[in-house]
Order: sequence, then C-alpha cells, then structure tokens
Amino acid sequence: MGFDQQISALRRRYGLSLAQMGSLVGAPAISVKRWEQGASPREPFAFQLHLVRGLIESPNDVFYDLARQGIQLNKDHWDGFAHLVEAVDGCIHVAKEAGFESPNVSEALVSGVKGLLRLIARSFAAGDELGEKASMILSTRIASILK
Amino acid sequence: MSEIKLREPDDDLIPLLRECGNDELDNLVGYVTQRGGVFSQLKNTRVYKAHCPDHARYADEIAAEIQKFGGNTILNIMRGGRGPAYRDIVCQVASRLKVHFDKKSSIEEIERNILIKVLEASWEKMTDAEKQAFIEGIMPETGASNLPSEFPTALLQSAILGGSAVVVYRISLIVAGAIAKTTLQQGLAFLGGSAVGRWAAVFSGPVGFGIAGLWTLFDVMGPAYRVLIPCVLHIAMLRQLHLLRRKGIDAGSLQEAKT
Repeated sequence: MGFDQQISALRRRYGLSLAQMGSLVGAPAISVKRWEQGASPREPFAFQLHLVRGLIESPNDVFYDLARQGIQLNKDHWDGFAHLVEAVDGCIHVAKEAGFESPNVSEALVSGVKGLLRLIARSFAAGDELGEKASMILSTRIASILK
Repeated sequence: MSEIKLREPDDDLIPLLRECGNDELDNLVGYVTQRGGVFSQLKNTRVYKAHCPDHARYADEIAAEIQKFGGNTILNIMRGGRGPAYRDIVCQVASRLKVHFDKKSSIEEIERNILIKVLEASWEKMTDAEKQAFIEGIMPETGASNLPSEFPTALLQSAILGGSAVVVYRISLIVAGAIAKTTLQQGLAFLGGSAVGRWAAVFSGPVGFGIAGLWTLFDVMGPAYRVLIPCVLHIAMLRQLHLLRRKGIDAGSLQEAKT
C-alpha cells in the first residue's frame, strides 16, 4: 500500500477530517489532501506520519521500541492515552459486529495520539540520550504539533 | 505465534534459538531483560510470565526482541512492527566495532571476525601468563613458545582456516564468557561449574577489560548496542556449539581434555 493509500485508509477508518489528520503531523489540511492525491510528503512529515500510524496501530509496540532506544516513559501515563487509542479501535469493531453505524471517535483518537506524542516530545525536551541523537527534524515536528 | 512481532523467516537466528535449551538461552534472556520492569517487552509477555525460566518455551519471543533491538522506532513501524533480519544486525554490530568484513560472507565468518576483534582489543590487557594460557588453550597444538607481542591474528586465522571448528568454538566460549561476566556478573549458564566453564572463566578478567574498553573506544554508547553486542557474541558462541554438535563432537569433553 502506497503512502497516499495508507493516509486515506487511516482517515476513512477513524473518520478523521483532513484538518484532524494534519493536526497530528503538524501540517495544514491542504497538505494532507495533496499527499492523498499522490504527492510525497517531505521526510520529516513522512517520519511523523509513520510514527502516528504506529501509535494508532500498536501503541504498546512503540512504547517498547522507544524503551529499547533509551527513551523510558512512564508506563502508567503511556497506558492512559494508549488505552484511549485502543478503545477507539475496540469501539469501531463492536459497532461493526453489532451492525451499528460507525461511531464518531475521531476526537477521542486525536486526543489519545496527541497525548502519546506529548509524552514522547517531553522526553526529547528532557535531553534524553536518544533525544540528542534522534532526528532534530522529528522533534521539531512533534513540538510544532503541540504548540 | 510470537507475542512480540517476529520477522520470519530469519534463518540465521530463529532455527538456532529454537534448538537451544533453557541454559543456553539463559544469558540471552538476561541481556534483553536487564533493563527490566515495565521496559522489557519480553518480561511482559504472557508466555514469559507463565513459564520463566523455561526459556525454550518462548524462544520466538526472545528472537523477536533481539530483532527489534536492531531497529529504531520509526523503521520498526515501517516494517509493520518488526525488527530487521538478524544478518543485518550482525553487520551493523560489525560496522560499529570497525570489523573488516564482506557483506556477502557467511554469518559464521562475520561473527568470527567480530570475536577476533574483541579478543584483539583484550590482548594488551592480558599479562604474559594470560597470553601464554590463551595461546595454549586456544591452539594447544601450536606450542607457542615465543609469545607474540602483537595480537596473533595471522596465527588464529591460519588455525581457523586449517579447518579447526574447535578453535573458533574455544574463542567464542572465552568471549561469550567474558561478556556474560562483564554484563551480567555471571558465567555462561549452560556450562555451570564444569571444567570447561572454569577454563573459560580464566580469561573473563582480561577479556572483560577489553570489552569494557570497546564501549568507549568505539563509542558504543547507544542503549541498544549495550544489549545487541552481548547478544551477538553469545549467539556466535551458540552457533559454534551447535555446529560442533552436528558434527558429533562433544564440546564439553573436548574442552575438559584441554584443561
């Protein structure tokens, strides 16, 4: 699946607007639209999109991957937001099984993902070992979302 | 199915770990869980919680955790939550340790070069008596009466090229034993208190110093490398051990005969 399809598939599944998707990667709605039409996101946006996808699909995996690289976050804090993201998926699944119309979960998903991003960004700001080595561009992107 | 996303196939890692017994896996588990608590994914799997220390029950989870240590967060996400292939990890470690190797070489050859590099870094930390014991222990048939001042790379290479799988196994045993002592403050679990274990332990001090020097010499400061390098050295030893077993050579009695 190409990048354009991945972005639109994510938006469709969770009912995210262009603006909501853009808010997760620090980009305007028009950029998201262009990416969905096949334009390649610049590298920092591409990294950010992958990170957001990882946080939505498997926040637990991202937590442990960060820990392996030296970013050790508070598990209780992480789980608080991660459970919100996972609950969104659970809700969509149950609604589909019960034959209900798709629930409006986009705001909950955005809140959950932004919470996780904020926890990561805080560790960068704290001058974590990886934070220093990791792409400055990525941390700038995260910070821009959180402004 | 592995609870931690496993990259399959990975012929250089998964079949080997699946062949291993609990004692052979014990040090590996120590390396990947040393950070412990909520930060160890392996420790938080259901299978680990239910069966530890029966490590063979979760060999796939151990392999997956090692693979994931070889990748970073973004790349692992791009790979669908999986780490890189083990061969890439070994090449990554070899590059980091400034080991000369050909990417097309067999995994055994690259691992061998890494082992020799570690020993080379340890050579100058050894006393003359330890150097003598090392040469005699590794290659008793050479009868090295004139102790070389430089690390005897050529001597080792010629012994290895002479077809002696035993030489490589002895080298791997010394290095894996030293890294276990340095990192986990314990010996190789599968050797227990055997004569082989005592023989390898003789070198754990000087080789351990050499390993400690590697961390700083090559700026191996990344937390993942602190786990990956011990894992790679231990797996190199396991591979040699299992190669000997497949050839019908009893690695235990073989070493005891040399002590």
